[in-house]
Amino acid sequence: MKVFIVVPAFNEGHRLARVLDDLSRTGHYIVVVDDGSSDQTVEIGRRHGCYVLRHSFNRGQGAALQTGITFALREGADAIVTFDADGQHQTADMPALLEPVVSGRVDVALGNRFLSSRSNVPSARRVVLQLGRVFTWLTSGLRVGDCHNGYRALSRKAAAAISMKQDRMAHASEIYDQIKSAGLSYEEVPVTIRYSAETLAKGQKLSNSVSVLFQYLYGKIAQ
Amino acid sequence: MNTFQIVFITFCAVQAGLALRRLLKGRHSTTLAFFVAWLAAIALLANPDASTRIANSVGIGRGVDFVTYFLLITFLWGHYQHYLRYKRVEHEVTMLVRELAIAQASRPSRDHQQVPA
Repeated sequence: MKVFIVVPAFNEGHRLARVLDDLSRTGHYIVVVDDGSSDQTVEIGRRHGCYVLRHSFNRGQGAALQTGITFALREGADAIVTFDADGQHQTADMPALLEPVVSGRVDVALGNRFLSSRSNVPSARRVVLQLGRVFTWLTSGLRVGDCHNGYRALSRKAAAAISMKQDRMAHASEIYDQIKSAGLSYEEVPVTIRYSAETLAKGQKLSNSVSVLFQYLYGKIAQ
Repeated sequence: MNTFQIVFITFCAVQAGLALRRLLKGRHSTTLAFFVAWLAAIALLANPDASTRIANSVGIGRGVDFVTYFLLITFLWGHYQHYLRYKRVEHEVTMLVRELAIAQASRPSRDHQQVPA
């Protein structure tokens, strides 16, 4: 079973090095997609023995993920895990996340931070994510307990069926639409998301939620 | 004819002339639409009562309201068309960047070959 871990990265620097230190112990293939960073992302990826793909200029996380997924499929991946480069995802959760997909029980395993008591989700973010969960249900018809959680495992069939056209953060909503429209089976798995002052400072701001909402709606209109 | 009409009719006539010159070089549907629009603007500027007559015929009281509604709808339609084109170009740029990234992918060296779990 060839498992590829796709890590989109944009100026994550030393956080990426720590993430790759952990991921390299899983024994899976790692694909780092440098989304036009100006730091040492490419060197860090090479030093850790990863496949490294570089976007000539920044195209957004959705585009970087799709690049990594397309590459992994061409390399013969049987399953693909999407993993954030900022250290919020925990490698320890990966076996449990992969199990439903590797066993063939479902096509997609979606990480759910609210099923894990160890996630330290700030309360304001918790509220926004709950609203996002309702929005996901209304737009895609998918009843999920968490949304915009980038920790997922996809079977080869699911990865081939999903084609993200939203280049930026709205891809996280688009993927639910595609799971539904492609008739893919899914299951939620508890994962721990660790927020730190550093990741909260660099990561998605709550105010970006409105921007992501408009990206998603505009994208739907343009399709 | 007042100063306003002279200035704007001259401007529209120059634009219509430029559009016509482009049309004569080759058939472009967008240029044809602009050419017709400039001619319509000249006609309305030369005969301001015409817009009121058109407005009345479609159930709108004032000519200026008719022109405002028409321009608003045309602007929104044009903006949407530009947005669709922008999204298409954005998507094509992403596809290009993606294929380039995949073609130039660096692979793990022999020392770093991963052992699949």
